Amino acid sequence: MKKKATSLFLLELILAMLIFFMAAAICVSMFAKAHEMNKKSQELNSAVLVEKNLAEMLSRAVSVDDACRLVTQLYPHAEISAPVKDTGSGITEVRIALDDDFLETTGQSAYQLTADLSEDRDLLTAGLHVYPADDTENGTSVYDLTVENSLSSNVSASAGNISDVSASAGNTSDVSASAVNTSDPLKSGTEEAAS
Amino acid sequence: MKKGASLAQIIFPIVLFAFFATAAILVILFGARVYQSTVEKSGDNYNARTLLSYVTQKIRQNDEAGSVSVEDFDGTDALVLRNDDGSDAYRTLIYLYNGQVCELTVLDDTTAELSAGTGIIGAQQFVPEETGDGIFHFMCVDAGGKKAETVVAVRSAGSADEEASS
Repeated sequence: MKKKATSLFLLELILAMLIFFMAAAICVSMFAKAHEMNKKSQELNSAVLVEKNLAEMLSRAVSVDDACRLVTQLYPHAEISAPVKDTGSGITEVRIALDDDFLETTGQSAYQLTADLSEDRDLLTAGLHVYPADDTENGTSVYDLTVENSLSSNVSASAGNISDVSASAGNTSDVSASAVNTSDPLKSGTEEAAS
Repeated sequence: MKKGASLAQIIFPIVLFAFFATAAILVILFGARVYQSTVEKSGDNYNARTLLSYVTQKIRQNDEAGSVSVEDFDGTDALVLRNDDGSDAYRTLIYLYNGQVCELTVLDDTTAELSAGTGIIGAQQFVPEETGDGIFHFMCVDAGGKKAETVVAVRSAGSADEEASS
């Protein structure tokens, strides 16, 4: 009788442990997922902030050269490549190495902020992207922001409105938006990121 | 033999139970640690970013020609926002004092002390800087040591230039 009771207790314990370990495995995987989501949201927030900063600088530019000058004020170690005019694109690429805290670094970079600047008549277009440093080649960006800025408005010393801003997060092709004459590029960018 | 077998019958469930209890505690501790780190990271930069957003919004509210500047206030760099309600001219100063970013609104011709401001948020550093071209750069290090920076381009900067030239 006593032996039977012990066996039953043992069986009950083993069953309880089995259920517990199954629940624990689910919990641990959820913890890991929560950690990953938190890291990604932080990454996105910081990427939005650095791109918004750059967009603010570019809103005062009167030409691509002036844009480069303004960018180097904020990021003195930015690498600026000459525009590729042979291919007809005429895009000036600016690369800025960022550390884990999304601050400019000259050492090991964790992220790369790039700005593709082009000028067409009186419109300055800047494609801003933040890539993880180890994923620049694959093109999986953390956040993309396109800024179009009327150069004539800055030259004629009127308010430098950002005339068109479109943004997308995580290369989601169907996530894009434009806001005409928006004063805050961050707003439209984050709204799209949230959707 | 029988005695040894019954001893094993008692010890084995106890060992199994101890293992079960240890595993349960470990999972709870692991979960608590993950939750703690998630909350900490969510709060990371919160203060610094809140402050920078606040400053940005203050500038946007006062974005009139020549009303935004960075000036020395009692030996400290302060963001100065000037406004005029028609009868009186006021200036709002935002500066770092005693580990707090403070805000003080006074009549434009009034002298004031750093201690007169109202604390907004705790910070180790708050550096406002006017880089030219109507661009303001703000760097702050919050109480937790997290550094954040923002750039604000004043929309009325062009109007100020126009007014100055005319």
